[in-house]
Amino acid sequence: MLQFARFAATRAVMALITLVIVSLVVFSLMELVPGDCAERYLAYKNTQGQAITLADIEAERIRLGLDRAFLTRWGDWLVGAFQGDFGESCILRVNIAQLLGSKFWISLSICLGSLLLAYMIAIPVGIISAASRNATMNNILRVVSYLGLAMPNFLLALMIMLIATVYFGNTLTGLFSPEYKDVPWSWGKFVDLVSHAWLPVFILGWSATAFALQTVRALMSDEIGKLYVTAASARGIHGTRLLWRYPARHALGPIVNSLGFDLNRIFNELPVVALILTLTEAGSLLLEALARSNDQQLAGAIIFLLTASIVVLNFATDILLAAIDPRVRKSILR
Amino acid sequence: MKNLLLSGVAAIVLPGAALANCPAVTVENAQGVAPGAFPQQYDLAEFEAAADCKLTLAANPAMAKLNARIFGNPELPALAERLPAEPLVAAPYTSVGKYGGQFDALSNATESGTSDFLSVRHTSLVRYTDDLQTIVPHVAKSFTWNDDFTQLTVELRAGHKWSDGAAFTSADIVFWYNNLMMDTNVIAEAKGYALAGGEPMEVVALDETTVQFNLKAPKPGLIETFAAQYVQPYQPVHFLGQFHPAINADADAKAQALGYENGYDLIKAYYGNSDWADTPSPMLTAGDKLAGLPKHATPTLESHIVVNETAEGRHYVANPYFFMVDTAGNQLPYINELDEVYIGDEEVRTLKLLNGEVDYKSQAVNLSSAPVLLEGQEKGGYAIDVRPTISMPALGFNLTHDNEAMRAVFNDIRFRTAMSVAINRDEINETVYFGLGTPQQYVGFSPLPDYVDAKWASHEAEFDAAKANALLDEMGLVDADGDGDRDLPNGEPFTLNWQFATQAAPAQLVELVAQNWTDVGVTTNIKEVTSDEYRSAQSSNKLDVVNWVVGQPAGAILGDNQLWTPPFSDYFGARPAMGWGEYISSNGAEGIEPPAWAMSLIDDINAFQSTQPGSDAQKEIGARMVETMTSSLTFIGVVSAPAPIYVSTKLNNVPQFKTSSYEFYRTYPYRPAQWWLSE
Amino acid sequence: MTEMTHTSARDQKKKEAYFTASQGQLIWARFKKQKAAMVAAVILMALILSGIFAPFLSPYDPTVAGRDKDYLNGAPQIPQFCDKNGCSMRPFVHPVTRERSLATNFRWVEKINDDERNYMQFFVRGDDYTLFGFIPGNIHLFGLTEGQIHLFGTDSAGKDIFSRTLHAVWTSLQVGTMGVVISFVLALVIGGISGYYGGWLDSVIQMVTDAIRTVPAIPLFMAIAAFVPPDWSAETRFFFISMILGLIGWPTLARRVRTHLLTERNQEYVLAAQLCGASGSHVIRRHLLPSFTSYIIVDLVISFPYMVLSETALSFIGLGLKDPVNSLGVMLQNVTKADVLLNYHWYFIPVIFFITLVMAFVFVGDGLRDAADPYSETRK
Repeated sequence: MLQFARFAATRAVMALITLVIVSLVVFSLMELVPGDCAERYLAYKNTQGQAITLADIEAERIRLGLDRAFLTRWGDWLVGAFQGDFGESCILRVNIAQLLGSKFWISLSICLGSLLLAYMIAIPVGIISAASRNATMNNILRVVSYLGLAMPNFLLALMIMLIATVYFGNTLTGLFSPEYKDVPWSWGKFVDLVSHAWLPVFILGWSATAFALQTVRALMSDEIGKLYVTAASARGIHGTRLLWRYPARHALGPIVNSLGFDLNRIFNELPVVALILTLTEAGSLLLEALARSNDQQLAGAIIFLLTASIVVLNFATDILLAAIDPRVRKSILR
Repeated sequence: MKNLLLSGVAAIVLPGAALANCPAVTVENAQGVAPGAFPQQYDLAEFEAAADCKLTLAANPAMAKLNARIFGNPELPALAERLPAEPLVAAPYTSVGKYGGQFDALSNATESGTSDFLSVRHTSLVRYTDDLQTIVPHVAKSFTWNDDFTQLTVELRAGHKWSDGAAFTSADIVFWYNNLMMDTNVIAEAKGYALAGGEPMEVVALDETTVQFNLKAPKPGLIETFAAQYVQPYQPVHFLGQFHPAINADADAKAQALGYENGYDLIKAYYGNSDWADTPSPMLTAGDKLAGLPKHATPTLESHIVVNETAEGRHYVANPYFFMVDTAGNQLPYINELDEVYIGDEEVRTLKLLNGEVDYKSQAVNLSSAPVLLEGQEKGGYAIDVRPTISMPALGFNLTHDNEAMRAVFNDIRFRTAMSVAINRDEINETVYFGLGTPQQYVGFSPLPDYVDAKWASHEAEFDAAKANALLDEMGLVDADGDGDRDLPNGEPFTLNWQFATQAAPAQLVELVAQNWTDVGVTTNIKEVTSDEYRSAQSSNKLDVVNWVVGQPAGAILGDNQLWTPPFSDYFGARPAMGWGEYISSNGAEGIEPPAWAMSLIDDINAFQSTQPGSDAQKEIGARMVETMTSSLTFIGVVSAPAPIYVSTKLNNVPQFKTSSYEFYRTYPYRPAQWWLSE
Repeated sequence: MTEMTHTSARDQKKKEAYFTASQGQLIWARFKKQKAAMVAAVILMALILSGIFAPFLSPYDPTVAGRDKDYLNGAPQIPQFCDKNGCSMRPFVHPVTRERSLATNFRWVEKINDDERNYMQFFVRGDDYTLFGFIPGNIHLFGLTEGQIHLFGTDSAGKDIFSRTLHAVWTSLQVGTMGVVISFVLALVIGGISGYYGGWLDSVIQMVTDAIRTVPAIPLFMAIAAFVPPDWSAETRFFFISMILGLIGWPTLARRVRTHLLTERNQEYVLAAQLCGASGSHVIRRHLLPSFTSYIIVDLVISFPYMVLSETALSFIGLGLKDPVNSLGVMLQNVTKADVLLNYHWYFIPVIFFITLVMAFVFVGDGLRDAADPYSETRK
């Protein structure tokens, strides 16, 4: 028990260190990109007719505090981040914690929703696909799921938007109807959210399904061939019960393990889809911050929150796996 | 009894009949009323005299409700108390409008792609009329220069009020200049447009409605700045002044009571740190402090004021104290509400335009979307008009290249000439711009003034590959090693590496020009990069070829000399002569000495900016400037292309725009306050 | 009597073949039996070959030098054998004249000239090219006697989409391969070590893996792009980027490998090998990893299209490859315009190629996985 607690504690410390490293990496990467916040902000103004000199840009830099040393900026920011204060977005001039507000939770829910959808489909289909002899059904199921992988999801989003616009006259954008946009949370608002969010969840979920399906099928195939399954089948257990009680449980181990990173992958795809569907929540904000405005503070904050979620999820799955899978426990505690 | 009644009625009706109600003069139908001193507008007295009538003023019936939405506004007084004594009477273009409606607009983000929409509600002391040449009073009642352009006197309107009912006087202009523009705690360094000859101006309030600008050096371009730039040279001293530490002793205490660090911090929350009117308001930035603030947004003189702001968009209502009325006496604006939504992706914006969800847009609507937008006009309920633009894609060669051999080649006029005539502009026009553009050379002034010889517009702009080949051969750029491509005189292969950003020119145009050059033996490799990478490479002098959109109208050139002095642009444009710029700014200590023609151009632009506009002296200088610039081929123009303007069919009183450009501040010359929405 | 010995001789031969066959031969034998996978493999080979021989198979230069000025945004032209004037052995197309103006909303209005025919020719001399980068040639599989033929239509500059697609397939294949190979090798090595040794080494490696894995691709690419010297060509720049894609792609597989090893290393065959004196790396290489072959293969084959997808998504944002470089990702970029989606549907053809390529890879991967599984015989 003590050993287990020690293992858990070590993992927790590792998670924290990971957080810190990732934030440093992200900050440095953004440092290397040409064009900082000051320049980009003034670039907007230049395209609107204002002539900008180098002196203007320098003045803007000093105003934003971008002339301080890198480590100072990062240090200050990190300390604030652990307290939940992410400073101000340099392009939007708004307090970040306020700006993100519920946005981050909404994005996270969409991603988790997609993940759930993906595995909800992939697990049963993968198991059936691995165990079944019906080649046609197998192939059909696989084709449909893999299409989700092959079709880039921003293209899919754009096509759906286009069909909706041209044939139904409704641009399907945004997460809330106008009447629910700025009001506090209620059941009605939640229902409204779900009625809009099904589209991104579907788009992201479809491509995530393919990946998950491949993996489940592969893992299941491996397990089904093992001797313990043959033994159980010889004992007279068959059909779904056989599948679920024996190979499935073993195959699911690695899947639980990689949940955190599947989430990361989905979150990486969210910004582009969000951009198209104008889902103005953290996903498209991240894209704006990283690719369009080089807004270090905002991008750093969003990535920090995301990393924290993934790290927490990984930590939880690690512990969970160690708790339920005796083989893993044995290895870890050797 | 009947007689009494009849005479009573007559007594009421007759006086009214003696001074009849004013005819609703429009630009289309003047109804016999003589125009005023300035086209399409009158002062009240002037109008009543010209039409021989008494103007009865009428207000928007919904105004009380709209006023209630402006946080911190007092209860709505009667119309007569809201308008100045001499409101500006505007003649609508085609019809007297109906009140009501919501105008929908799109911008890219809070402070990006907004100038289109900003111009819809913009006011300033003066404005350009729709011929883009005449400057007429707007907020100002009149303005006069002294003889040598060192003193500008501006008369304001008595009784003009801010959007919260407080009086607008000359003190507001003085406050803007002395306490905002010139206070380094607010604006770190005064902007070029606020200085004359590099020195601050002296802004004096002669009385409540008269303000005087005293300049240390002549600057006829000052009035141009007020007419065509985003700056509104006045800010509410009755509101911001109380938080300004330099003029109010307990400014800091007051600001701290509201939760801000000090007075300047609070001013920053309202005014920002520049004159741009799209700075986020406290509604977006203040968070918890918003509840305690006396107002949610700075009072304004614009036609609409912001009442709600989130990271997704802004919402505005009509300003109850707006100073304009139409010729029927209705207070403008007609449109009750404006709604602005931010969409960052161009394709999604196009879809919204197709769907008719926007009422007007010209910024960021590219010619390449014209076909799909044209097709959707009927279904979407809008009209597309393709109008000329001011700036055009132009390229240049790095005249101060680090590599000596390359620099020698680029500085040879024969090379630049060859490269210019090697470009098949007609083909590019056909392929990229649907044949709608005008192939032309870069001449500095856009549009070309009529006092300049039109031949310069086609200088070395014909397609002549033979001539290009001959010139290159003459220069010594021949194929030494027989691989089919030209080499430098020293034997090394000669290739051009061209990094371009699509913000500067469409990728197709770059591809085609590169192909043209490769065809005459100058191998050109193109690579698309982001705008930031382009600027960064340009600043470090690593580029072979520079290109951006270049061009300014004569009015802007009066105030801005950056296109005529090395490095020939501001930070964000195309700078083909970084080394010369360094030489000038370091007074000869670093960089490369510019040639004589570049130095003479500097003298010319300085002379141009201080001579009387319209005088023969200035015309002569202008013509000389065009000759020097064009024959030097520092910038090689390709095609001057038009851009589409999108207007909803529900929007009325919108004239045809002369150009689609921000150089004249977009819709401002076309008086958007008199636009109105039909059902 | 002879009948029986004859049969058993044949059976004997088969049995011998089976028991002396190498693993590779066994896998191939099993693979052949799966119809879906075989079909996919054939398609994949066809695509790869068409990519390799793209310069020969495509009639025109895919860059702007080979553009058709008179046929911008033109629809696909299918060669016919018969028309109203009779039939012919050689296929042909009818020439068209086109015009556009503001009146037609800048859409091209075509008039087909029914009376003239442009015949197709095979093995024509056309634009120069270099096969594999060093074999020069100028013979193309087909072309027209006069004018140009566009099987998949043209884009807005007049470039032939058929030629571009074939070249794009090749670029995408090259680029994907490199990224996949690098990430694969790294994943095996690092995941293997981490999983086998366990303990604190595992923890440290896991932490580093997690950190790398969580870093989002976008800022990484922006920073990389800043480092690339400006005089590198666009293709070189992309190889560099795909290398980076590989370098950040290994954590996923590494983690799976490591987890699998954590469970497997307590198995008896491992113990047996260790008792025989096998070193750690020997055990990992020859015993543990082959047990994992199935999802290594799956991951390998799946990460291939994922590499191309990543590149496409990045290009969409503006960070990856752009015109005029040809890759499937670049061609996909052009499809995302509303105008194209509504009017120029032939731009989608590369998308179909892309989807087919991905699906082929995936089905082949599945097939290989099934074939490589030594227990699959007992089930199927």
